[in-house]
Amino acid sequence: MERKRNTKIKKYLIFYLIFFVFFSFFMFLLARHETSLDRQRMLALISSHPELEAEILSAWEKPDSPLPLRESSSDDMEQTSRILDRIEKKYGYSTNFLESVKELWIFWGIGLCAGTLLTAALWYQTRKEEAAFQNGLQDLYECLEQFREGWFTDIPDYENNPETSTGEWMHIWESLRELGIYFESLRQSLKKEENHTKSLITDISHQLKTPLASLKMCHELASASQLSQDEQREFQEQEAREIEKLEILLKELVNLSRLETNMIQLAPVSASLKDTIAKAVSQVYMKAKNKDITIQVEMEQDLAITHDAKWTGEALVNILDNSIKYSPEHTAVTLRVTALVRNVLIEIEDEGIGIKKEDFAKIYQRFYRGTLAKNMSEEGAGVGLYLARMILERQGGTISAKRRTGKGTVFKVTLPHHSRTPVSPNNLLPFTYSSN
Amino acid sequence: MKTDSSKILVLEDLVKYYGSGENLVRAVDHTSLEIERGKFTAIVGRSGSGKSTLLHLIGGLDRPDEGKVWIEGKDIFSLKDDRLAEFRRKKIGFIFQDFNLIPSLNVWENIVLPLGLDNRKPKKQDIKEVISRIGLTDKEETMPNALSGGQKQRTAIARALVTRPAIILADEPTGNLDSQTELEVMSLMKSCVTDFGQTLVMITHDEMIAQMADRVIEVADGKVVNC
Repeated sequence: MERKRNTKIKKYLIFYLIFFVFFSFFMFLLARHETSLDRQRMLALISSHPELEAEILSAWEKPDSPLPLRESSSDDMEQTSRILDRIEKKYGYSTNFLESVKELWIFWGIGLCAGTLLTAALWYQTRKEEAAFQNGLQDLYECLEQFREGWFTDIPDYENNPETSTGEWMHIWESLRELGIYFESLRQSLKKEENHTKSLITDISHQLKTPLASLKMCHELASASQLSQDEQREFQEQEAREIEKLEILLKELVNLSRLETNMIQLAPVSASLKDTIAKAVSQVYMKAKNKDITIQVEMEQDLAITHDAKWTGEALVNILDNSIKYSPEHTAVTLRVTALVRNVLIEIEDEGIGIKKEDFAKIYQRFYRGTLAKNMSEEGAGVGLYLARMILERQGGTISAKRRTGKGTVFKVTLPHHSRTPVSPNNLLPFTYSSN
Repeated sequence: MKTDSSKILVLEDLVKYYGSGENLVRAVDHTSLEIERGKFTAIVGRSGSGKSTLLHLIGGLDRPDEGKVWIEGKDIFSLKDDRLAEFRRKKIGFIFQDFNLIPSLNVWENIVLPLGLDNRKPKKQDIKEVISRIGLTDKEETMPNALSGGQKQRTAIARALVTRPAIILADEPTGNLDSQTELEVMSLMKSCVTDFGQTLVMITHDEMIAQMADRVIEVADGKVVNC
């Protein structure tokens, strides 16, 4: 702003300078013109009266004495003044200085008036701009005050205000508006995170209640004295199973809360996808064998892709585990890897119970279990797919499911060949372009 | 709600009818919605359910009969046509099913086109970053007719991203692509939403794409039935 005002003042100065130079030049020309007229008159007189050359020259050389006859007697003076009066009456000439330079005076007056008017106009303009500038500063100050009080989106209507709808002010307000939006979204994401953590704690405690209640019941029954030894042993075994389930659930919940609160950062490095898949399959192999489900892996060649082997493995285990859990015995689960241009596509097909159409959009929600899944198995907290999606998306991948023609479900997972460094999910930095 | 510019998009009782009498079509019928910043929202519905009309109203391509659309606290239909067009260029990125690339301009020129329209100085480095993110670095000089469908759509995505709009609107962006390319384009769009903190609203009828969204809005007979 300051810079712009300075250039304006500079412009005024230059304008004045130019005006001054022209004015001086004009005055010079005028003076020269007067002098040459004077000379011409003198020459004309001398040429018509060569005998009076000396007198005429002396009259011009002594411009201080208005008339060559001043030094003569008072009679002559009187006579001279009479001649002058006569000439003045006859031709309208006057020795009055003011009269003879009337044009010059008029010119001078016009110049003065124009100069005054111009200066006044410039002064008025500067004052107006100064006032607008002060108003702008005042608005800006008030706006910053609002910011400090936590109102980030109360930006005055700068676009329809003629004082601030010009270049640099627009730029400042535009930036301030974007800053306000940025602050507000930061605040909202903080608040969201807080609510998120609250709901996470509520959800987890809710998830732990049920298994704990059944464990407690088992324990009470097992320690009841009126039971036979066989019955007691049975309840103890039941108790052990409940403890095991609780352990698995706890492990899941720990993973979940760590990932969700960003306590674990994924670290994608270039690694063999085949190794990751092999490890994942070996983790669910026993479960599959118990139900006589064959796991078939179709992968033409190993691919080195940028991924976090441990957590990507975890995601695949979760998907495979689901496929096995919700498939009847003696079926097959197929894992197929296809290299696309920028991504790797991993398809996991099963011949299981499938997912209801209305459940598709919800299966990735935390602790959501599909209607069919609930009917089939008591086990499962509804964490697996939620975790899998979070892990994959943080590496720039996707997951989506589709009903297979025939029976079962196919999960399609994509992961980029070269994933960029994972970004924090709340990265909301606004970008701006310089506009002009 | 009024001028709360922290909300990226608010629809207030939008109405758009076509035809009259017997042929009255309630394309958008009293719809109110709020869309969260930095999220990927999918609008699903059968064809003729009014989802495209809804998207056109959101993007200011069409004026509603009643109701308001607020984008970052600005009532966009209070703007005159030329100001609305300018607002649209600066704040909204469009991606269409049929790409809408200019055939006589190469990839780079197509991408920087919206910046040039507003006399914005494109920062070469930023554009390069978007292009490399989208994977078209070696295709900058290529003309659109020499590109595959996926590459064309990626060019259109880059064009929507370079202006850093507040919101990107996409109308069935993968409708003309085969299923594998569709997955590639979708994974790209999804990660761009995360990386650049963009807000994306996408029309789709594809169940699998809807699953990738953070939120799914179902539209039927001009009304939001589920969200």
